[in-house]
Amino acid sequence: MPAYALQGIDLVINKGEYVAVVGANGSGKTTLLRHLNALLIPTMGDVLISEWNTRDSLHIRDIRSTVGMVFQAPDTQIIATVVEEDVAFGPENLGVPENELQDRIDWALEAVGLEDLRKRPSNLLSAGQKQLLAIASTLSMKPRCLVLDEATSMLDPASRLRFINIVGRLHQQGITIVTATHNMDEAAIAQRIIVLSEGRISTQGGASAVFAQDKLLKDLKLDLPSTVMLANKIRKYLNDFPCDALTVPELVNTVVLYLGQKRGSIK
Amino acid sequence: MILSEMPVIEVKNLSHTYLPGTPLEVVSLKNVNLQLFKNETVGIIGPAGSGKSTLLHHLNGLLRPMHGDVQIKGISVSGWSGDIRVMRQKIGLVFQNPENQLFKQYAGDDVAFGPRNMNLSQKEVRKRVRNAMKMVGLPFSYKDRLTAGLSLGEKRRLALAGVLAMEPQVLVLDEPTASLDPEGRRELLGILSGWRSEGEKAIVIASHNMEDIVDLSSRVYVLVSGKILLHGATREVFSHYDLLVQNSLSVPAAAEVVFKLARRGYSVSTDVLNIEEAAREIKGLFHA
Repeated sequence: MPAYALQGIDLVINKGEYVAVVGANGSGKTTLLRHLNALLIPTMGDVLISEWNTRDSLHIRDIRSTVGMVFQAPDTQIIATVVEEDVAFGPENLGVPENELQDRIDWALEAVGLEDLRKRPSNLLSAGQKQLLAIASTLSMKPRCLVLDEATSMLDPASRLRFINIVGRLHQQGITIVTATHNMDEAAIAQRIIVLSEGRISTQGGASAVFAQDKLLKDLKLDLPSTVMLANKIRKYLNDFPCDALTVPELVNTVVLYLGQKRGSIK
Repeated sequence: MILSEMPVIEVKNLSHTYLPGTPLEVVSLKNVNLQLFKNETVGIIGPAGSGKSTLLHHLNGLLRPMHGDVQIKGISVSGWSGDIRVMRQKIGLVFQNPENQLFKQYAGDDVAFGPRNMNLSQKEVRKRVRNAMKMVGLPFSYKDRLTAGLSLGEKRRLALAGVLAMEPQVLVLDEPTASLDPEGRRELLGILSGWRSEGEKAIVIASHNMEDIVDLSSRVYVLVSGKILLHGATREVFSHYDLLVQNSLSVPAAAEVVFKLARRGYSVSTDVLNIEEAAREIKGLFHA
């Protein structure tokens, strides 16, 4: 009997959209992502990238240079022995001219904060640094769509924040972002969250709409962002406290505003 | 914890350099001191590349000290004349992404690998596999499952079972919850604190997840560029919000909200580690 990793997925990701894919381990996130640059070809159904069907081997190169992918385990993606050579590998193979190549390497290394380690052997990087390198090596190819499979799982809080900021900037420049993550604080930043469960799309929508379904998320063994959990807790004491803040600064502002209202009404 | 008690692990002035004397030299640890006592869990936090994994690899003799010393129950690793395997059985090391270190076709064989190499009887091996699998919440029937067919959370628990089957006194874990879903993370943390409370045990855990550290550890060491920047009780260490943020680290998100409110002049106590405490402080603002 076949085991379906994905079943009946209908999904359109628009140009320039920022989408987060969440779901428990084994829900099909990685399988879905691997279909987006023809690493996996559907058993049934079709995947179209721009107008190219991933089944059409003629367009594999087009598809793969359009959709850049950062894998879960950076070790599987790092090929060169020196940091900057790894970042150069992709664009070199795309035929990027020498003068532009250097700019791209500099930009990608600076974007992830590895500029001081450019001459370091890649096997002497820590797990988090390897993850940053895998990201830089994908960025240097300047893909129009960036697919990230738990690309931040080994990053320290500052690197994670920096990475989220880079992704936000790329998104503003019109790059399409698809990111799978277990970190709900990170998912909350996306325009649309797709919740996968047992290979199917269980629900999808904007962050506030998805995180309002806390019962469903609990059934799917998922968490709320920590700010939403904290707001829910505060609500137990103050029953009209708003629960829609998705980031720490937003929640701080919510508290300040709410406090202002309360004090205003007491006077 | 009695301070005069002898630590299970003591790291003294430990320094480590990769590829010394070559142009590619990387200084990883510099004069690190650390103590681990039984019945405690110690957390290690530090930015990427700060030397956490290198330090952990010293704790069971995988790396030998270049400078300084590591002592297990008062016996120096450098001067260890006996079988190094004895030390490795006492100090169980769970690597980053331990699912990558599974190599047997069947789950049970992977857990049994360590005990079998300890020349234990068939019966004892079976008992240990059963116990270890029970401790990590895997049914014993899983021993006949194909390792490759397990989910990530199951694989990670299986790898932990393989280490627990050696019946170590200390567990050293390198980012044990990375890429686990929230439920898998909670389960794993529950297993670890359950194991530790069995008595006479100790845990060292390195993580980028500040919530993990808060949930498990009573003391924390902060490693920055190979040096111990700060150490102390968990509550004390996480009160240094600015210092942590300057060094690419953080505090749990709920605590961050309270620190930011305090920064804006609100009268909240920043002695906060989790969501409950943060909610209570914020509630206090409205009743003032």
